[in-house]
This record gives sequence, structure tokens and C-alpha cells, in this order.
Amino acid sequence: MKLKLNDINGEASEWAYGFKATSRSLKPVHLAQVIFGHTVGHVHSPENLFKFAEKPSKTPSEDLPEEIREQFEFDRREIDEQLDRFRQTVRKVLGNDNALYATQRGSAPTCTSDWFLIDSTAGVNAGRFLYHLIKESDSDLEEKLTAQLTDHHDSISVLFRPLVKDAEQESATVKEWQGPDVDDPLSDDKIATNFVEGFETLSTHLKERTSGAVNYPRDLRRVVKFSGFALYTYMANRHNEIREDGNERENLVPQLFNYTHEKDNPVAHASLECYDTVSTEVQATSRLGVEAELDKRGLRDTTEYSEDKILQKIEDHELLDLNRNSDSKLENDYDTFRYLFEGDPADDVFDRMVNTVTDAIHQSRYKTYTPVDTIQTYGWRMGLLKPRGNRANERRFSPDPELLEPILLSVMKPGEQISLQDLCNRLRRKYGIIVGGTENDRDHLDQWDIAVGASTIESDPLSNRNYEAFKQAVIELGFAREYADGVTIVTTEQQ
Amino acid sequence: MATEYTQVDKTFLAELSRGGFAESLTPNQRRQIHIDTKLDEFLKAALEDGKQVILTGNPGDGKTQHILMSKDEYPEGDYYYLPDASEYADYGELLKEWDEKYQNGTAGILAINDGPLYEMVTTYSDEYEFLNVVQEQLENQIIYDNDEVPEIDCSEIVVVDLNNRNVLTPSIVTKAIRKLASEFATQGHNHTGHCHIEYNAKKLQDERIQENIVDFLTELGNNDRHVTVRDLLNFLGYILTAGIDECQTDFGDELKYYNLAFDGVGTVFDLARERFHSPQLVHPFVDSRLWAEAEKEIKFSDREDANEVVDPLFNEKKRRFLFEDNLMDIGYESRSLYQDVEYKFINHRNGRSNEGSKEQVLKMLNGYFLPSQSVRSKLQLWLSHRYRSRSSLALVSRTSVPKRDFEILRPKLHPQIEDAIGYTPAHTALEYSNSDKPVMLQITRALYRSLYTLDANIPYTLRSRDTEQQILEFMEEVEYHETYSEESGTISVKDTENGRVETIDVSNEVYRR
Repeated sequence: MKLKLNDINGEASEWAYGFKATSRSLKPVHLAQVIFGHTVGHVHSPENLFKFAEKPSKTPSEDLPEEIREQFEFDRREIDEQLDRFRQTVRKVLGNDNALYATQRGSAPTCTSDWFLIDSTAGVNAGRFLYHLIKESDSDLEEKLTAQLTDHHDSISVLFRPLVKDAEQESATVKEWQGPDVDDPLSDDKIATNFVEGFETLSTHLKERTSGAVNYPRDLRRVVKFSGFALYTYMANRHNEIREDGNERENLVPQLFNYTHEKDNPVAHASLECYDTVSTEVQATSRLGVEAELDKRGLRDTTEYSEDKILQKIEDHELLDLNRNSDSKLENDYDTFRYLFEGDPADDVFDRMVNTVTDAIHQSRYKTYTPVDTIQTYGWRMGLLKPRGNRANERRFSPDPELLEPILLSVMKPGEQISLQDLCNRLRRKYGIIVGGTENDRDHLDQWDIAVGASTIESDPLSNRNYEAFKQAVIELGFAREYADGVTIVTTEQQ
Repeated sequence: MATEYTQVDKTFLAELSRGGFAESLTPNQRRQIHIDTKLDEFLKAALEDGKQVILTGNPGDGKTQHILMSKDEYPEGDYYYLPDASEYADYGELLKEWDEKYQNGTAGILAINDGPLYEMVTTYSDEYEFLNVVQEQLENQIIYDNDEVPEIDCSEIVVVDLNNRNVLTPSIVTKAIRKLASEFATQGHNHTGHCHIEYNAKKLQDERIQENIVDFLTELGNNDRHVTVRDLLNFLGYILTAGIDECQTDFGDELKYYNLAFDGVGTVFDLARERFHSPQLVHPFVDSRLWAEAEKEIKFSDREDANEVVDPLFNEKKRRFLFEDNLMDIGYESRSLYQDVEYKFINHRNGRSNEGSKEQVLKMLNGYFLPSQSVRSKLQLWLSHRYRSRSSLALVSRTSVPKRDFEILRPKLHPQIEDAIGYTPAHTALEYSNSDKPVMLQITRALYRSLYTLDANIPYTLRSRDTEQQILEFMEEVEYHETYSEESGTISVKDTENGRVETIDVSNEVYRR
């Protein structure tokens, strides 16, 4: 049986995480769609909405079905021009998440209510995992989300009401998250349990229905942003949870939030190292997954997969199932694979094969999109990493205030008052977030071989400048007050 | 042990400019350094009434000084004084002592920084009931002007939070200048000719210069940052002495007060430098005139170097002009430099007409989204909804809230302590009054400035996301409390990239223009 690298890539991901994290196009709105669809249990097929939202340059308004055109009581003489202009502007509302495509399939309009939930195909498994965490939480989060999503008072729902209200409603494809093969991530105080608790606490901050309506889409955004952070952090910590080589670290993978707003200082450098550590850890997770998958496929059998036989299969182009039309490209693919295999230093042939396949799927030539790419791309799309954009290759942890807010709300109960140091300790212990506010920060980083180097112009920029700027960020969110003698108290609003 | 100062002269003044002192002064020096404010009268009256006054705030706010001053007239023993709460490693011990005095009805003054005081009230209020009174007062130091005044029990304990005191008021600054420039700076000289301290002291005694310094510092006091009495005294001590107590009889411009005012280390200096370099202190005529004079005085070989060479002299001239405008006589007053957008905020904050201020704020908020409109009678609410980290491509609006549902609130001191200190609010608030819980948008100087400067029509996509976020969060909160039809409405969509706005009526499942 030939090995399909892309399948191994996906299955290794499922083995380790419980979902395929191998999608280039995963965006926050995809997760929103899945989580919300599972929450309310239904989706819509708003055909008319999608026809209307197509670019007028692709489908001119004169070509729209008559039933849509009839909904616009515009001056008949200019209806096409007016409609074109109107659609040009209004489609941007649905496309605010940059996931509105020409067809409904794979498209994900932004959603303020269930009217915009469609049977989305992207991010389904990861979304299910996040929904599972919500369901596991001892909270009324689902009820609150349902109340919000089935309310149609918000301006976006009213704007599109004529086009979506009567769209066919169907049951969402709700499936239980199956979890990974390797273990139960919700056991033994693993990081996913911190997110279950996090959703629980976050839920207590969300709005209740008032005077018949619960028009507060910001709460939807809070849940989605926190979900994105949960996904990122879960994946970053998976390797340390499942490795059994005796090198497990006691602390979570550090995410040093760089509040210095600079790129060239010890804090920024350490933050970059944290980003690289996440990549290394996620890649190492894939390796464990590849190992399990190759084992399943019988590659430990040395009678069939001895070194010589593997080389022979490479020679005969029988080892890999490569989707290539051109012979020269196929040849190059096999050559590369052979170099990787021959160059790998492992003694054991199976280990060499595992390393080779892992290295291969992390090479762009085999057109595999790995969990490393998925999560780091998602990281900037959701506002955890900066700079944004496809071209940047050096990113640091620098969360948007809109992301920091739900993270804070997930560790503090309404009305609770704690010192900023306590908050920093919670963030570090629960999520691995480091800002310079606790005396354990350096030890935590040390454990992951990350050092905050010396600065030539200031002493300890981590616990001074970075911590101060983080404090300001919390103050600006309206959560903290600074007192004399270095006491800063963080409070969240009593609901 | 800290040096105990016995002299009251220029040496002391130089020390003063270098920082902390209160505990090491002799009673005589304390009296001399003391600047009378309304707090003195307030404390006297409270002690006469048998109350305990808690002075809280930051180090340098003058808490200990007030205790030391009071002891003369109200002796320790008969009265209870706590000069420094942070000396107690264990607040339990302190509170036991305090409780005893409180139960005995011993009047007194307690200086407790706000951090420790917060810790005491949050940790020990179950044990000591009087801490609940303290907490209640702490939470109600500042109230809004249209609120029903919250009842606080000040019959036995009064809390005054000096964080709220504006030290840079004309009265305090004038008294401080007079005291330092005339009483201290002129003593202890034994040389011929004039030294830098005498020079500066003489200048600061000039009525016009004094007025200008007061104007300048009062202007700085409008800033949001907290300035303590110690900061003010440091500043004045430094501009008189440069921190050098040895008389410099042969001195250059660098030791003159108007240069020193922008040269030292401390909060007031930081504010002064920020103000000096802010675009708001640019005046086309004053600046060009001073620049021309600087150019005339300085020789430069290459025109291209002009900026580099002339700039320092121009700065020096401008610094001097701030305080010696009449001596320089260039046809303008230094005050004319302050007429700018900052004053718009100050007028808004101090405005008598709530209705006018409210309309102005509503107009600015509406103009943020629709620059061509100037609607004052209602606030149009906008929604930006996206899950990704990026500014919005489009904003949507369907709701307007009439102005009667909003109030402009101005913070002020609770009437029970308004006689204790002077207070300058750093913000006003636009309150949506149609909900059980207050929904407020704080109109700070920064927000006001960014809204006001939008008159220059900054394209939407180039604006600060922080400002947008602040406004949109407020609007979303208001919209949560408003109930409108979910079937119909007039909806506007703004394309943030090209500024185009489409407005449409939705009703009976049909769109109409």
C-alpha cells in the first residue's frame, strides 16, 4: 500500500488532537459557524442571500432572479444601477470576515444570528472540539448563546431580513466530538480542562435577556475569540501532554505577550522564541501522530520495511502515492524523499521512516498543509500574533484588546477583586501566558530553554516595561486601578 | 539616620529640588515650607469636631506634613496620629491600635497610602466595622453632578483621598513661588555680585513672570496625570537652584529658570516638556518671529544647516517667551499660545450649559461616522461585527437614540469633602440614562481631541482603532438596552474604505429607498 502523505498528515493530526488541523483557510468565522450551529442545532440555506451577495461584477443585478428583484421597490428605470451600488456596499457587511466566496459551499458569512448560520464545511472538526469544551462546562453558556443567536433585533439581521427570514431551516450536522486516539484530553488536569473552566467563568460575564431582547453581538465575539485562543493553546501544549519519553515539562508552553510594541529588545526576542517553541511543539506532535499512523499501516514490520526494501520501493516509485502528472516532478519528489531518508541519523529504520515522513509533510513540495501552518496562521487571524499577513515570518505574541478581554474574563468571576500579580499568576498557570508579573516567569521560560536576555539600556525589561505596559492595557480595558505602593487591583463588573 | 535640616536657606532649597524630605525637617522648617490650603482649615475643623481624618493618596501628597503641622496645635496624646502606615509589617497590629483609639473617640489624623488602605478595607472589614465606613467613603469621593448625592457617614471618620487634589492651581502655585523665591532663595549668600539663585529668585518675584509661571503650571494641571505637592516643590526648588547650592556668580543661560523648567527630573518637568513640544503650543506668528530673531543672532555658513543650528536658540527663546513675554516685546502675549483645541475640552468640561455640551458631544460622535452631518438631537448607533482581527470593511446602523436619553455628567467631589481639597476632573461622561445600570462613555481629553480633530476629515481607515473601539463598545451597550422592531427599520451601511453610505428602509419584507 502506497503512503499518501496528505492522509498521514491529517490522520496524525486526528490521532493527536481529535481533529484535522490541516486547513489553510481556517478563519475565526468558520469556528463561529460550527460552534453556533451546534449550539442552536440548526442552520439555514439562504440561497437568495448568497445570490444577492455575489459581486455585481460577477452576477449583475439584472441577472438576479426576479423574486429577489421584486423585493426592492426601487425606481424601476434605475433599479439595476441602484441595486449594483447597493449590493457593492452591503455585501461587505457579510464579508467582514473575509470568508464570503462566490458559492455558498465553504463560504462563511459573518453571523450575528442563526439566520446566517450555514452548513459550513470549513473548521468542522476543530469547531466540534470547541463546542465540546463548552458543553462540558458547568455553565449556561449554551443557553446564553442560543438566546443571542435566536434574537433578530440586531441591525445586521434586520438589514438582511427580507433575504433570509424564509430561508429553509434544516438540522445542523451535529456530531459528538470523538476525541483523539492517543488519550482523553479532558482528564488529569490537562490544558483542555482549563478551557472548560474558562468557558464556565466567561459565561458568567455574558448578558442576560433584557426587555424581550438580547441584542448584544459582542458576546458572540467574546466566545469566538476565547475559543480561538483555546484552540491555539490546546494545540501548542499537546506534545508535552502526550509525549512519553520522560522529557515532559511541568509548565505549560509559554506565550510571552510582548507589550513593548517593539521588535528588537530582550522581551520581543523571547516572545519570538515562544512562537518558535509553539511551532516546534506542534511539529513534534505531528511526529508522534505520524509514528502512530505508520505503525498502524504496518511499517514496523521489518520484513516488509527493511532499509533495503524501503530504498527499493523508493527506487521503484512504489512507496508514496503522489498526485503528480509530470514524471520529472515525480522523480524530484522521490529524490527528495530519499535524501531525507538517507540523511536521517536515527538508528532504528522505523524511527528513520517516521522522521522522514514528518520532515516530508513539513516541506512545501508535497503540498501538505500541516498543523503548524494552520495554527500559526490562525494565530494572527484571530489577533494573538503580530504582525498580521501572509508574508511575515517573525511573529510575536501581541494580543488585540478584544482578545485580551475575554481571556481575562475567563479567569475572573464577576465582581471578584484580585491583585494584578494574582491575575498574572492565574494566566501563567492556566494558559502559560507570561507578561512579567510573577516571580516564576523566568523559571517558567527557563524550563523551555527561553531566556530573556539582558538589555543594554534598562534593567529587567520583562518585569518593568513589559509588565507596566500590560498593566496599562488592563487599566484601559477598564478592569484595573492602580494604587500607591505598587498595588494594582483588578476587578470585573458585577453582572 | 537622615540629615536633619536646621537651616532655611538656599542650601535647603537645593536639597528640596532633589527630592523627599518631610520626615527630616525641623518643626521650624516645616512651618516655613508649609503652603496653606483649604485642607488646613478642613483638618482643624474636623479635629475640633472630634473626628478621625484618613488622609490617603500617593507618597508626596503631603499627608505626613499635615500631621506634623497639626501636632503643634493638637498635641499627640490628646490626639491620635498615624504618620506612616507602611511602617507596620502587620496591618492587624495597626488596626488594633486604631480601633482602640476609634472606640475611645480619640480624634486624629491618619496618613495611609491608598494601596495599604485598600488592602486593609478588603481584608479586615469583617473584623473592624469602621472599615466599612472607610470603604464607603473611598468609593464615593467623586460623584457625578446630577446624581442623587450618596449618603455617607462622616460623623466620626472622614476620608480624604489626596489623589484627587489638584495641586497646580493658581492659589497653591502662587503661594509656593512666593514662599520659595522670597523666603529661602535670598538667604545664606556670602559673595559679591549676583549668583544664579539670586538671579532666578529675582525673576520669580517679578509679578508678570510669576503670573506666567502660574498660568503655565495651571495649564499643566489640566492634564490627567497626578501631581503631588512634593513634585511642585521639587520643580520650584530646581528652577531656582538647578540643584546646586554653591553660588554660581559666573553662570550661563543654562542655569536660568526658564531653561531649568524643562531640564529637571520629575512629573512636572515631564509635563512641561510634553507641553512645550506638543503641536498645541505652536503659534504661527509667535514661532516665526522667534525663529527670525534666532536666525539673526546666530551665524551659520550653510543654509541647509540652519535648522540644526537655529533650533536650540529658537527653543531657548520660546522658553523665555513663555514667562518673559513682556520683556521680549514681540507683540504677542504668551497666553495666546494656549488658545487651542485643549481649551475646547476645558470649556466642554467646565461648561455651564449641559444641554449645549451634550449636543456638541452628540454632534461629534455622529460626525465620527458621518462627517458631513451635524445632527445634535440624537445619537445614531453603529455596529461593527467581525470575528477576525482587522478593522471593519462596513458598519451598520439602524437605531438612533434621542438626546433626552443622554446626560453629560461632570465629576465633582462629594459635598462632605468638597471643602478639603481642590479638584479638577480629567473627564466628563456621556451617560445613557435608560437603563438600570449606568452605561457611560468617558469623554477624556484624548477622546475629545480625536473627535474634534476629525473636523479635518481624517479618512475612516486611518483613524485610531482604540477610539473606534471605545465608541462602538458604548454604542453596542446602549443598543442592548434599546428595544426596536425586529421587522422593520431604516438601515444605513457605511463602506469604510470609500466612505460611501447606503441607506434603505426595510419593511414588510421589502426594501425601499
